[in-house]
Amino acid sequence: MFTAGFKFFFKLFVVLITAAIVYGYTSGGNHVGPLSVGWKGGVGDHTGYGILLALATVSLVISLALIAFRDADAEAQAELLNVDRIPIPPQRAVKASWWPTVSAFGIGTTVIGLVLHPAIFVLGLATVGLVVVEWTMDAWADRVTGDTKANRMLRNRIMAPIEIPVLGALAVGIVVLAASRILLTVSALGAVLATSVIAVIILAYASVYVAWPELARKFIPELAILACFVLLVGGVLAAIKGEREFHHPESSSDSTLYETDTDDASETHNPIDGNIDENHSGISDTSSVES
Amino acid sequence: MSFPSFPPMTASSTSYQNTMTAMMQPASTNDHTLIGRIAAQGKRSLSLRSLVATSDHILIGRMFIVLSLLCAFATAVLGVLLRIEHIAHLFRLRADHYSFMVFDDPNNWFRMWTLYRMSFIFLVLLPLLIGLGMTIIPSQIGADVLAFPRAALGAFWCWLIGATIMVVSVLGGGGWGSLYHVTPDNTDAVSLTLLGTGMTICGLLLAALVIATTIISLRETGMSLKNVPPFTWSMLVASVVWLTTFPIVIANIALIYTGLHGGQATSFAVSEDENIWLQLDWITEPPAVYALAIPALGIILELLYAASGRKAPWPTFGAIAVGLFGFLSIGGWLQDFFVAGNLTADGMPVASDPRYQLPYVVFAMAIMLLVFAFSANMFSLPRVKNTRTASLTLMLVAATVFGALRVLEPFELLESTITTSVFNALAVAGIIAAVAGICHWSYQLFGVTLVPEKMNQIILILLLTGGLCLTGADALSGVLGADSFVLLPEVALDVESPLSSQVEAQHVSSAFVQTFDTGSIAAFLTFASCLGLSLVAAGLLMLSIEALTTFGRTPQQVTAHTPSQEMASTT
Amino acid sequence: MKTTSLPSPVPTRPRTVLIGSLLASSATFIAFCSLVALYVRHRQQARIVGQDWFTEGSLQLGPASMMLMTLLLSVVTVQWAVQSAKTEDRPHQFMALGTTLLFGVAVLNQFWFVYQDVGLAIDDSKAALFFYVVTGAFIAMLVVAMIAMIIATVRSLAGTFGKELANIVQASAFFWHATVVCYALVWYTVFVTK
Repeated sequence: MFTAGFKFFFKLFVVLITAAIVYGYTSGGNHVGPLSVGWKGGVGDHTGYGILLALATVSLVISLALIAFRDADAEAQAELLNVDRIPIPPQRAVKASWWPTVSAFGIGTTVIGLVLHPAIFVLGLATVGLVVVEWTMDAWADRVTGDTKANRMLRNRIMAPIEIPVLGALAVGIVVLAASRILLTVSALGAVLATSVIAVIILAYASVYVAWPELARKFIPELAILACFVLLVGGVLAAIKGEREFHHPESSSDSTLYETDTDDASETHNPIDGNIDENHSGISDTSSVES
Repeated sequence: MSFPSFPPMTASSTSYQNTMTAMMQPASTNDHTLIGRIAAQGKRSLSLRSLVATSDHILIGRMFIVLSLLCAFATAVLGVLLRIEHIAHLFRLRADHYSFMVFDDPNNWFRMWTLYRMSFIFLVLLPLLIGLGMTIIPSQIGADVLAFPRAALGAFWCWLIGATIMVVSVLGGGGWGSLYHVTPDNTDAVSLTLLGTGMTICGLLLAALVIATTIISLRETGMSLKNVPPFTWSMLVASVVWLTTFPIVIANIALIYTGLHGGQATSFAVSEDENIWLQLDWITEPPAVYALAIPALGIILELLYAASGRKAPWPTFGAIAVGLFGFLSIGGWLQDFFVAGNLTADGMPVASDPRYQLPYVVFAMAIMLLVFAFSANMFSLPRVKNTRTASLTLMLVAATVFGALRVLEPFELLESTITTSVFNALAVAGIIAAVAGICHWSYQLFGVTLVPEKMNQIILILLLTGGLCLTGADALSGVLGADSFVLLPEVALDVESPLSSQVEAQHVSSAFVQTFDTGSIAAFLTFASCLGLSLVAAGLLMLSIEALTTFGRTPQQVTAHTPSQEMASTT
Repeated sequence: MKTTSLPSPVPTRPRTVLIGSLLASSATFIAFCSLVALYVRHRQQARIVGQDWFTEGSLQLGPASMMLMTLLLSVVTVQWAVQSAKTEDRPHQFMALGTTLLFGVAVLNQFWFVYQDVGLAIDDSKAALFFYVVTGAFIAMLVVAMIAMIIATVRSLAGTFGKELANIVQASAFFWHATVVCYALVWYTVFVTK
């Protein structure tokens, strides 16, 4: 009559509710406080009492659910489906999907963005939102009919016009934002070197792709995952280190034409150096004449 | 009390046996048995694409296991470094009292010390056991698949990415609080650590939910919850306990994080005696820490059943032991930090109050039931399984006995290193349990006998010797009066004075030295514990290498290998 | 494409989603109760030392009770959705799910009003901090419940309208009920007993 699952959780409930009451009284409760959830009297330590009470409630609810479901035994579920014997779920009923992994990356981005920058946070949330939509549609399409091909077609008919532009924009956004944080953290020379190396890698990969397309295609996911990890770790490190120091020009609109964080920059303001100054004044003179 | 009892191996009606028998068959690529699936999977090349998008529970479980074994090795190495620092203090190997040899300053030491503890729980034990459960449980209950395979994959990646954020941010200056104030410089890093921890826990909770749902709703016809195999039962109990314990940690983290950013940091999150770590350390202490060992009990029973090949004595006792262990390891309610004043009316720490001692006594009783069952079977067991079961049981007994000693009032060991000893004993017990499980089910996990018999023996001996050395030395240090390495409130209070950070550092360092300096015996014991942890690390390294090299094995190798003797003994 | 001419999908275990939802709701409920327990503990500590938790009149019961009423109404509409799914009544199911979502949005809107009305800054006091943590946790839970409802709605779009769909709606409904219970806790501990 009483199922094993019900008995386990109900005993858990009895133990926990007893523990809550005993704990309530022994930690300073009075009157009937621990018996009436603090209605009449104190319950002692509120934290422990409250948590024990919550655990007891949950145990009771689970035990009641399990007895209602008859422990979700195969026989009970078969009866619910009006079949003699419950079908064991097919081995490959659920096809492989990228979305769980992308969702984890989305949550990771949200977490980093919460600390690092609101834009990254929003980007992470957008990724999670995207995953919710895609995952839901995939799950729906998997079960819409018994024909796998038809399911695929139905899904693509609804989703392809939306997902291709959105995914493209999102991928570019993630790369640009995360990479910019890293580049703002490393030194100016380091940033130049890093971008050069990345450019060379992309060029090399493109060359390999042209020469051996099959081989290159095989490594696309591997490289994508590796890049995501590098960006995530780089993002965390960039958050911790912060941006490098930038030297901004103090005044004069002309000076903004030149980088001021190098020694050469100071030379542009040197009145002794006639050529450079002349060029400057020449430009401004011309513009003033034209105006 | 009518707890569910485990089915005897001789019961012909159980599909469990049939499944195990099926696993003994040579691999065939077109059959639908588990081995057939492994074979089919092996036919595909094991690319990164398959790791990222798979819905195969065996592969997901393997990813959990291999990564957590690597984390276990790294964590053990970190533990060795922490002990080397300690030895350097005791042997006066450094220039002065205020400098550190391995770690730059006390704060770094504290950060790594907390990382060591959190890693053992969230990066090693939980994922290791969850990985084992994800792989083994579907076949034990005749389900063939997990309840939510995509959620299982999501759980793995959520765990991995959360763990990456957590570890990187700790190494980058974050951590669970600080010995001094959390300054604006490292607030971001601390925030990332907190959020990374939350994400890691969410991943593990999702995995636990998948396992519990699988056990409850995907059992095959004829198998009630009363008849599930011991490991499955223990994982059900463990999953429920984890699902009801770790959300409380997430609530704590939410509160700390908001306090850190909500301007209440000075009165809520980090200062006075309210260090962030002190709000979270209840998960590393009894009784909550015992929740990590629940599946270990199931593995012990599983080994006993498999080895004896006959009905174990009083199988109901096994189920009761697991259930009791589960009941009592629900520890979210006992958060010393939040109990008013942290002291009872008599002025003693809350956990030393006699009313809190009962759980530990019952813990010991639960373990004794298992010891009883074990001793009744031990003479009939093959040698290897005997070693596995014996070492596992021994570590669990050590953990519960030390736990009971810790709280018994006459000994006054509550704030001694015996707390560390309990944690380490459970950590090593969990690892041994996982190793025993991995070796026992290696054919299911990796398609081959993962570890040759001799190497298996060596690994177990290393883990057992190392574990006993480690925990024994820490326990003895505690008995001799060494304070726990845990930073006590008064140490934190020392740094509360409005001094410059340099002077603060000296204060903390001084407290650190006083805490450690317990004489030459203490030096010897610390050396012993360091040696013990090194042995554990060596054992883990051997197993990690073996697991890594076997990870991408193909079905041809499955069929080429003769099923091991242990698998034969299983049936 | 006519989906009616295609074969039906293989039936799966009907209780799986429900059990999953039950466990997820339980874990969330415990996290929430843990926050509330800490809230009450800190409020009690403040009272013991004679401090005011919230200043008199800073929290109004009216809007909070209105939210409770809204959520109680949503309990009815959720069950309406479950019943519609069981009887394979697609129009009513969409209507019920839509109404439930509308109630969810209404509660979010009311919370916005409460935040404006209270006018507490998060760094004002420990009470303010706890107020935002507890209510923020509830809002997060409500958003998750609404997403679950949206997923249930999407799953009802087309295809076989059988018991599997009813189970999904029922699972979402279970989480929704847990959310309402959590709000009842917030209402009582934060707004009534202040």
